[in-house]
Amino acid sequence: MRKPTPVPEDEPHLGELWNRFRQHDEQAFDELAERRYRLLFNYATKFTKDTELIKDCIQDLFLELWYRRTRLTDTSYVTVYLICALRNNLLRKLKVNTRLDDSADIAVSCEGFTDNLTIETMLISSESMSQKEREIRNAINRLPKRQQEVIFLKFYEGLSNDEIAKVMEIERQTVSNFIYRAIAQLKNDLPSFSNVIPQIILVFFLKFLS
Amino acid sequence: MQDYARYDIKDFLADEAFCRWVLHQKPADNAFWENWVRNNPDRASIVITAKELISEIHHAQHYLSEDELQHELQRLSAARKSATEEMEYAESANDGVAPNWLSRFSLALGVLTCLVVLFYFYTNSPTNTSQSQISQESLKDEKNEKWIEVTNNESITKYIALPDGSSVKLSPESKLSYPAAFVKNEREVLLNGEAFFDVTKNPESPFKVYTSDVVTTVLGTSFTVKAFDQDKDVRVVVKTGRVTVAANAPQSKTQEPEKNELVLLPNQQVVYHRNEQKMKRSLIENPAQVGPADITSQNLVFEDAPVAKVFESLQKRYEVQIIYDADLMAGCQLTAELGQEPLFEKLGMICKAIQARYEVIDGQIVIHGSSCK
Repeated sequence: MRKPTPVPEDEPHLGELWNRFRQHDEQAFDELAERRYRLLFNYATKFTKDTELIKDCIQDLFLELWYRRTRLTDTSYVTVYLICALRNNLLRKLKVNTRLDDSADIAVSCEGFTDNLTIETMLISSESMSQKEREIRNAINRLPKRQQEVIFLKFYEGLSNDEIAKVMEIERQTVSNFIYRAIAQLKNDLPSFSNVIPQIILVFFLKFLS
Repeated sequence: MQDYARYDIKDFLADEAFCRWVLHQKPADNAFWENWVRNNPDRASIVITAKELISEIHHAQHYLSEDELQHELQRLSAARKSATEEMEYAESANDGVAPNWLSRFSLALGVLTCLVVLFYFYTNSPTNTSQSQISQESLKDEKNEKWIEVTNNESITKYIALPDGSSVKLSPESKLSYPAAFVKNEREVLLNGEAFFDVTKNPESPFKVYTSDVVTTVLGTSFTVKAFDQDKDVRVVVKTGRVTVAANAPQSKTQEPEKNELVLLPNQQVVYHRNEQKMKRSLIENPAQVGPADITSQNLVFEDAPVAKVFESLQKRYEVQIIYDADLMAGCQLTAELGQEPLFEKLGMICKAIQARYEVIDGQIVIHGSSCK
């Protein structure tokens, strides 16, 4: 069995870094970015597959924090704060881009924005993944956008339903509906999902027979 | 207390506490679940499957390679440093409220100007013959200032010093126009032909080179733009720093907007094909080493070194991205001395030794290798 990589339990440390960087501590700022960059990048792929746009967005986010450091308040949960801030920035940026693109319906073109580049730009980073993980990734990418986002926040970062509701500005009940719907869909899409158990039983059986 | 004994795999996945245990592995949760599995041995396989699935779903959503991560963190750290210096400068110069207000105002002004320029390009029809004249005239008219025009009719490169301290080496048969004095927050020049730019750093005022097809934007760096009217393509090559190249022509509706702007790093170049109105990013033919000469002149010596280390050194020397499967090639070792031979020759030697091959995709080097066993 593969050993799971737990999400680091460094939230208290993050709060400490947050307070130190508000006091102009440059090292604390760099460390904070280092500890949460990966999460923010991966989260942003739920909105757009344009990696350069994502990188610029995260860069802007952190620089803005640095500029505003003296005016920032204490926050109890830095990770959720960062996720919310990035989400707002991304949605704003995608909206501006679509407006320049001259299309009337933002929601529709946002979707178009995200889908076309998927395979091409994400190919390289998927090279080190197992076949099954690649299947899971593809199945997730076929889910509706908001379900993808819920799945990410829940299974990548391990946020609670309450926290997800806060980030996405939706009801807690809606979050849990999304989760159930997404899991059901994944189960349909992934042959390995439901096949595992019979296989294990079969192995047991064979052992008994031999 | 949940009745976990009745849970099927979907319920386990949806369960907050279960998910938290798998992802965070807190000791208290560990104790609870180990105990629970011991008491419910018939459910063990479901728990194991659910646990595995959650960590696979977690892994499946990794989209950032280690190299990219390190690169972005370095970039952020550098930007943070220059932001700090800039702020200290602004504070010492002005004290207090004014700079914030002023910078907002100037930003708004900058954005407005950009929009006006953009609007102009949008509304002009893309007739290829007259376009370069149109865009150049429009810029000049709009500014209503004195512009200096330098044409190099000689057979050698001409050196031009710009009002902001930047320097330009203008190639023969090329023409550069620039304002006698740059207005605050705007450094824009027009180029027809080829020139090498060494731009002085000023984060508040991007430097823009307009040609008939592409706009090259930088904050402070050195690069070459080659855009002769008679050529089929336009070329931008970066020597140091970071450069943004955007198509100048009005886009057709079918094109994706993000395809028309590219970010270039050192040793990368972009070629804009005029006929197809498409930009392509690649590495230059012979990438140069970046950094002070006393370091770059030293040979790289490896003795039974893991290839990851070799690639890392090359990435640093040439500031290029090398992409490879670190897990797969973990067993590959190399003994070599790399001197002043061109980058691609070095890569050829390394690949031969570890039975791999490389290709250049979108300005990055991708290594296809095996496990060397």
